[in-house]
Amino acid sequence: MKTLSISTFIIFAAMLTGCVQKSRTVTVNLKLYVTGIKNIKQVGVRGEGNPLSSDKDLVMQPVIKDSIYTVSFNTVTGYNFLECKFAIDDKVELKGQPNRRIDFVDKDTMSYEAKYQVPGKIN
Amino acid sequence: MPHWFQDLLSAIPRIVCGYLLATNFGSAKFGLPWSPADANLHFFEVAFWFPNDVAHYGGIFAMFPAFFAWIGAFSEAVGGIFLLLGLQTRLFSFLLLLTMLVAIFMQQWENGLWNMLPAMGFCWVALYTTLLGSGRFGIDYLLTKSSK
Repeated sequence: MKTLSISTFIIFAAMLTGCVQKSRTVTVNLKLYVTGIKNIKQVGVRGEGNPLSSDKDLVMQPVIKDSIYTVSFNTVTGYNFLECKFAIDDKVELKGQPNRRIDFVDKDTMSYEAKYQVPGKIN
Repeated sequence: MPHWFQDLLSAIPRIVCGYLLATNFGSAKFGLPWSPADANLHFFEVAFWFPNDVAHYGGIFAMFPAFFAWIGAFSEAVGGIFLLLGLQTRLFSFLLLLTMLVAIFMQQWENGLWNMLPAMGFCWVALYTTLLGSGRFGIDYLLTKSSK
């Protein structure tokens, strides 16, 4: 009886793994244009979901110092969007405003270009 | 105090908690018709991130993360509906009680008291509804009234 119960539990548990939302890997390419700020030490992006964090930068690399920064990363998600904000020297943009939203319905690669402190994308 | 008034007072937390679980806490991680469209959840599907969270609890949770995630999300979302209606109240309250104990001690314990508060609130309500049932302001009362 005990063996039957354990077997039933394992079969039931295995069945339920099919009831988990499908997730996929999405590649996100971000480019940020900055104007009017000099001697920038660090530019990053913050958000929810690995590898993003709401309190720690995913560091962006300078293409042109104090002007253009980029980062590419892969995220595993079941959602069709990602929310983020950019940060320069620990100052997070768009204070009191909604996060930037990057939609990637039916896409496995998404490029998003934006200007610092300006809501919405520019491409 | 008249018995019906006691039942009404004890029904209010049950109904409010059931509503919040079914429409917010549960439906955000378990696919129901009113789950947020952004969550991209199909019917009776548990959110992709929840089994990963559950696996981090370790022990038996790490052995069957999808099972425990599904049961936990089900007990919140569907259990919330049954709690709201006062249908099979003791059964779903007990399931909810176990889920909230896991949430308190395995998920939120290290995040401090403030983060534990929602689970603790649901836990207290599930505790008394497990013992007392729905009272007269629930479907259980109507279904069993004729047999009393």
